[in-house]
Amino acid sequence: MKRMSLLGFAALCGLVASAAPFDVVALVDSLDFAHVYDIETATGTVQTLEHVLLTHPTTVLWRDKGGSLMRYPSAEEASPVGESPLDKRKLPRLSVYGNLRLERPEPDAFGIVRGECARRGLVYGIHTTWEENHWLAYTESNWNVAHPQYMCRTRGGGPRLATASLAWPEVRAHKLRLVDERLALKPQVVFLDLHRNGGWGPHMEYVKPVIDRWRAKYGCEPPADARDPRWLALVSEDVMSYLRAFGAKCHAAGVEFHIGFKHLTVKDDFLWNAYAIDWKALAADGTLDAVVVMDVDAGAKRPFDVTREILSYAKAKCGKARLYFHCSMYAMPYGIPGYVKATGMKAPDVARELLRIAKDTGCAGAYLECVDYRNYSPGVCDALGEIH
Amino acid sequence: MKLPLVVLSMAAAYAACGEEALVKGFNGALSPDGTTLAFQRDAGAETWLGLYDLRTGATTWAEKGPGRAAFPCWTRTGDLLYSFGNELHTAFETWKGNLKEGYAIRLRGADGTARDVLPRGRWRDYSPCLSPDGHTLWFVTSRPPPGHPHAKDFIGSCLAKTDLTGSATASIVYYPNETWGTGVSQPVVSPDGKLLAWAELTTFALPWRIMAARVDDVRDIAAYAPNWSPDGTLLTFTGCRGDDPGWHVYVLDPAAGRMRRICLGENSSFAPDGKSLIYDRDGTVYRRPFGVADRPTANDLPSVTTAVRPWKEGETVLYAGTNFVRTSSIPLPASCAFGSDQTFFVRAKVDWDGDANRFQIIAFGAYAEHPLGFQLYFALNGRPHVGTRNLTGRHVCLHTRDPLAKAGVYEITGIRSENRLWLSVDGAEPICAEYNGLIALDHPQKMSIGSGLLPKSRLLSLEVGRGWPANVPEPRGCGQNEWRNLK
Repeated sequence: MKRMSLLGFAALCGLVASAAPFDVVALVDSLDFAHVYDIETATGTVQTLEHVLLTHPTTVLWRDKGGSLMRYPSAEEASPVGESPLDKRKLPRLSVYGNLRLERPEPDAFGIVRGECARRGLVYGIHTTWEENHWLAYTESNWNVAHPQYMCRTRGGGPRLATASLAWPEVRAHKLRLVDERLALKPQVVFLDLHRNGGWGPHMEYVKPVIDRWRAKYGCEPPADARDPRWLALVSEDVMSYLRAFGAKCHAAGVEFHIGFKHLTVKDDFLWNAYAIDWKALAADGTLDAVVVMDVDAGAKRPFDVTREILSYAKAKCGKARLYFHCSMYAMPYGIPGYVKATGMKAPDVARELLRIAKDTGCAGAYLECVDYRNYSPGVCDALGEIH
Repeated sequence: MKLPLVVLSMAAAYAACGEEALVKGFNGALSPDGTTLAFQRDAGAETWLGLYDLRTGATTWAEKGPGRAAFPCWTRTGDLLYSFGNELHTAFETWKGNLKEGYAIRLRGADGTARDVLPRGRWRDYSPCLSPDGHTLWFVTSRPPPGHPHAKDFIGSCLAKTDLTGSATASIVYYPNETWGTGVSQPVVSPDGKLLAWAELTTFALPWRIMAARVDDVRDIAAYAPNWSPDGTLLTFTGCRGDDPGWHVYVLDPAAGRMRRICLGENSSFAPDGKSLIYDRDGTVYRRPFGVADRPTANDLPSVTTAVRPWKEGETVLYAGTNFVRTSSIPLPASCAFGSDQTFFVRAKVDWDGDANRFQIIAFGAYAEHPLGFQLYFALNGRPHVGTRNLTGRHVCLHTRDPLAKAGVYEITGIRSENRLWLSVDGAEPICAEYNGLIALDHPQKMSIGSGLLPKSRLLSLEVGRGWPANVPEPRGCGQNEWRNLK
């Protein structure tokens, strides 16, 4: 909250936007360093952070989990048999990643990162994901697996194992207890990454509570097409309620709440169709402190112009929330590599151009997704350093 | 801790039904005599294995740390199998040091002595089950299937087995999908030893399924187009087992776990009176009678009807069979693990029908490394062939320069050495082809015998042996008589 107050004070004083600090926000999935540093130790955690700092971030957001592989001792996701092979539903992984036990209390990775960030004057926060699963079957959420009665279902009733539906109050309560756990790690920012969704979408919300509401409201069976606006509106009730409760918990703790998503265009229909989320409403009602455009489909012909148009649109719709753009080395689907491919420019020059566009369109900063071992070249790191 | 009312009421209802709490723990398994419950108990960083005496209520510990013991499974003789691991180091230390701290299957005798059945590695072997005859240990492993593109970072689990009476090596039998991140767990053999059931975990997004197959047929069959018999006791379907030359009509008795291959054909269904089968083949719809004699019986698969001389470890001739009156598929013994460098031969005496236009398979050997590890067959207008796979898994073969002149009995010998294939007909000097290397054949699975021969051809005898075959002249080199197929 202190950060928000300062920004509000600055605005009241009529400071021009260009004088505001430009954030460089590093998303860190420590698991991606497991083959380089011993991240199950305090030393390895600090080494990981120091490598991340080569990108000159002003904010560091540490991932709280990789799928269900928690990075702190989580009561919600605790399970006596929650790892492979003890849980025979969790598939083993042969490489270094399959042996990681990051949920142990020691070392206290978040405490270490928080302390190091404070010592260096950096903002520290949590990078969390929409669903507790990742994509592969060794990352199923322990809680979701333990509660099959809440699992998502597709139109024909087919179960989506290990994905729990927000339509159930028990699931929303569980997810909000996870928010409490994240806040107990004392972040200044919680960033909810909608891109990492474990495959979830309104097409798998054909569960009893939603179907019952549909039948009561429309007197017929639910539509086959999950993009039916009426179906999306029903799903949206649960999703928006969850997000507002998420934001309220963060704000009650004096913590900023950011969300990020990809595939933004000026048509702006992706997030609604894929998540039943009205981000503009959340920005308008103060649920969100910041909206992060994690990627845009800039096309191949005039990618920077298209990017500028999309960001200008987003800025106009952002309401009270701040807008962030990306400076991502990930190409999922576009990122810096997409611009390099489209323009023939070198990555550092693309980074400079993206940062310039972000500043010009009123963005408060840029998200780096994710800072892995040496995926930001020295040239791109230099470009990021120049922005301050 | 406050329990929701619904949970408390369910617990009360279960207690009224005779439910009885035995002991704190999970994965309970009763001993064959019903007196002892083996179970796991989580104890922080350890998982203990307890033995709860149902008569006295006393618990003793088979494993009580350090380490984790899981998935207890009793043998018929009262020994205990379980998975055991003790990971002492961080993931990074384990990975960098290639420390062999994975999970291994442990066998604990009634006298309390315990040993790892297979050598311990970084992999995880778990959820064991012993065949009723006590010879074959089935389990799940995180070892990658041979040749898997993500072998170094394999995510998933494979169905594996080992012969407790033979060399202690794991043979990977089945992996559900060639993509990354799928797996299996908990193989269990039926009490009669014929069927294997297991769970298949095809990602978290798809339903998990219980699968079942014959123990010697686990990954063999691809099937579709099921149809019930009118009385609901049989299923007919279209299937192709590993040794089938094409789609066949099959009939399955689900209750008995028996299956019979009827004939070449697809899209089969029963007539309304159940007395005939309708199916199609090559664009024609057929009908054939189906009677009591056509129902699957216990002896249908595998369809060996001949006396086969049992092999013995160390013998030159590892397998020899004669008088095959039906096609068959037999398990290949562990002694048929020839690696990449050992010379071995496959010799067949065949009464060939002279049909030079048809591809006819005499025999092939399936290995975990490749389902067509070696082959002996007729093709290309009646030329005998010997085939195997090169280092990249591609088919390589050698055939005679000229087709066989006429129908008749021929003795065809295919020989494979470290980098060469040889082929001899009726004991003549062998022809040869040379390669940069040939696939390692380390994990023998089964051999198909005579399954691809046309009805008028007959396999009279078959031998598989190690070393150079006695009645084939020693080679003078490779080059003079070379006749290779470079496909």
